[in-house]
Amino acid sequence: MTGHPEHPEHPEHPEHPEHPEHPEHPEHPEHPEHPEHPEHPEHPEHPEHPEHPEHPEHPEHPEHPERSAREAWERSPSALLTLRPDGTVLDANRTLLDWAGLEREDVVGSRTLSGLLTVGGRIFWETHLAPLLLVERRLDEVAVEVRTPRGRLPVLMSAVLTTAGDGPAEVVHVALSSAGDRSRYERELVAARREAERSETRLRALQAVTAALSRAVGVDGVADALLRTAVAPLGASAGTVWLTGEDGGLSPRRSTGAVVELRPPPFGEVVHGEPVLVGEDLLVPLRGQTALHGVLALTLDRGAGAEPPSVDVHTAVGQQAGLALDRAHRYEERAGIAEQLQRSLLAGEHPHDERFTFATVYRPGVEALEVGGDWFDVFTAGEDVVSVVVGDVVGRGLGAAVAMGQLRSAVRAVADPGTGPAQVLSRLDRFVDQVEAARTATLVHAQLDLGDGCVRYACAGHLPPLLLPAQGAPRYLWGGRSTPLGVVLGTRDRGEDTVQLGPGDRLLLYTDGLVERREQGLDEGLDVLLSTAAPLHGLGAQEVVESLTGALLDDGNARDDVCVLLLSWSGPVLERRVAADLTGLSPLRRELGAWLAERGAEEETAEDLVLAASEAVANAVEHGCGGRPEQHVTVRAELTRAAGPARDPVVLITVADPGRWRARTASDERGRGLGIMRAVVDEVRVEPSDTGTRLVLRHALRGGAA
Amino acid sequence: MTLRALPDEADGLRVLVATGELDAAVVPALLPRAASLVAGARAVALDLSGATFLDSGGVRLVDQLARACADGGAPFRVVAPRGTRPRRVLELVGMADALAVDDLGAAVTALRAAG
Repeated sequence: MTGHPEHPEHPEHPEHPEHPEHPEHPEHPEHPEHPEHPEHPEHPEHPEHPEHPEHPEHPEHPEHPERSAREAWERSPSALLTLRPDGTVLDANRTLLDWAGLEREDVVGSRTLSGLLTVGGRIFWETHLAPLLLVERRLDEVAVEVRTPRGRLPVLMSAVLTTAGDGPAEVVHVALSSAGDRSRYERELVAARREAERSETRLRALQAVTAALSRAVGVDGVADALLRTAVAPLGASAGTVWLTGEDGGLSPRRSTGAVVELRPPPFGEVVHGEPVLVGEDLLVPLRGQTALHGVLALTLDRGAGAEPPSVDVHTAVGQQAGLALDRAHRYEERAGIAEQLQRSLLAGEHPHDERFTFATVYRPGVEALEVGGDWFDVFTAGEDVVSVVVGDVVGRGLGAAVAMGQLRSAVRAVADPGTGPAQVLSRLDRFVDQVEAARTATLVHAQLDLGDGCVRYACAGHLPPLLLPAQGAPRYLWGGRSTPLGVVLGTRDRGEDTVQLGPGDRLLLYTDGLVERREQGLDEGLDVLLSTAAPLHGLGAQEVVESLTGALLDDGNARDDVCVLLLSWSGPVLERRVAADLTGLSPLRRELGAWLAERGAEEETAEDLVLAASEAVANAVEHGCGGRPEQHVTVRAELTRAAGPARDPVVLITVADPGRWRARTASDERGRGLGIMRAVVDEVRVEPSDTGTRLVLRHALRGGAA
Repeated sequence: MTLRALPDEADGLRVLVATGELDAAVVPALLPRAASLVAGARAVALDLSGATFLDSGGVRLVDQLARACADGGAPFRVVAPRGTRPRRVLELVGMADALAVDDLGAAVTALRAAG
């Protein structure tokens, strides 16, 4: 019966082991050697098959390199992001997505980092962190908060700005670590609050810069305002304003703080609007609407605890200053035109005469957009009188300037020879009846007699002239005062006074801008002028006026325009120092002859005096200097007054040499020279001294020797 | 200044003409030449009418010429018109009375009379 196919032991029976469907048969799928059996090595689920996830070459196998980096990135305990420089998220890891409760597609390419932060963190990022990152290229452990479905998550943020791969594009790598360490987080949070306060301080500093720039006048005013408000208050230890010159090059205009070098920083880097950090310097371009006016170079304070620079604040400073410089350039152009007009009105022919010297200074007002009405004038009235005028027309602008020009001409027209100052003022009163803009002008008018130094002067409502004697203290001349022009109370008669000048004495006329200040009274201003002028008598006329205006006006408080005129009487003195050779005799005789003629000496008297002086000088050269040409003879001629009631003018000529007098009379020729001197002048006096010999000739200017 | 001798007249009268300023600066150089300036002349007139200035140095030249003429036996006169500076100086030093005349004609007359 085993031979029957249905008998289990028959080979074709399915339960027979050699039957193919029997599980132990090798071709049966459940047999381990069959390829589809899971334990067969070629089956995909067999661990040694390459596509099995646990096979080491499978990408998802933890030991596979790509998967492990990506996985590490995804599973990092820190939230990691990659951003474009504008903050847009390029990639974010699983940790971040888990914190934020968002899917990858909600974030990548659409959100910015700041969109993931709380409102406070977002503002902090936008106003401070992002600019700081652009400048410093990194942030280290800054405390911010991330929005999560469960509320705020405090994190510490670090970031670096780097170049991505080979390309020029920059990316920001950001790591946010959960602030598990609460104390550190809180420390950072305090720092962040401090930073926010600093931001506010900067904002206030920026407002101060804006305010100062809006008040600044002129290019230098803008530079000063910038250095005052935008250097130390914005965390820099030093600053220099570089301005673009006519040639387009930059040169330093003003500095503050410890500027070590004034070498131009590499300005090639500062072409457009943004500040640039170059080495230790932050270069802030000062760009106007059309041109780069210059650069503010700031030396950043890099000490411990120093504040980082704030790019947006400095950008704003640069823009504000650029526009302020636009205004300043326009202003200076217009002020230049106004000043030119004023100066052209003041220009003109002034007399030259050896008997007097004068010096003037005209300074336009600080806010010189409008022409002022100050003027000065010097002219001769007759041969021996020089007239000086300083005046001030009320008001500013073209009207005042024109009135000034008319009044100035009017003074010249009415001051005929023989017309005294009081009479000149009376005539001007009639003139200003016709010229309304000149009414209430003030002026001081003085006439100097060049022969004797007598000054007649009158003040129409003007500040008193200051007398600066060659010796002694200066004093104001308070005589000859009356009302401004056209303001005549009661009588129309104007007063005048006189003052006697000695040789070298000076008279200072000025307008009120020299002494008036908003913060001080007029009396105080006059006192300051007096004390400033006192030590200046040793200086030349031009030096005196320059020193005075420099000392009194350079305090930055002067606003008005200023005219100053100094008149100096050379006096009846001629002083010459001649080399000890006789070739100087002839020119000296001519000078002395002219000097005597100017003083009204008669021809015969003058020629006798010239002869006597020539003899005296020849004697001094030949005998007093021992023929040594390096020696000098000093000749001084002066006019004095004789004793007695008539006080007739007397000429004194003094010839001084370094030699001794004795032995000079030994020869006949010398005796003859001395005889000539004695014969032609009233008195010849020899005054020997330790330092040499003085020979004094004294002679009446008129009338001559008896 | 300049000093030059005109050609002698037929009778040996020599006229020296000085112009400009005769002062201590220029005259000393002329003093050694005084003798040669008058040598050979029978009479000498120094014309100072073109001189603008004379001082004690100039007077030395006048004096030197006068001495040289005296040594040669030639009469000497100085033309220094009244009212001019040279005349004033010659008067001051006391030489005018003996030497000074107002013009060249007077000098010639005086010299011929003296000769």
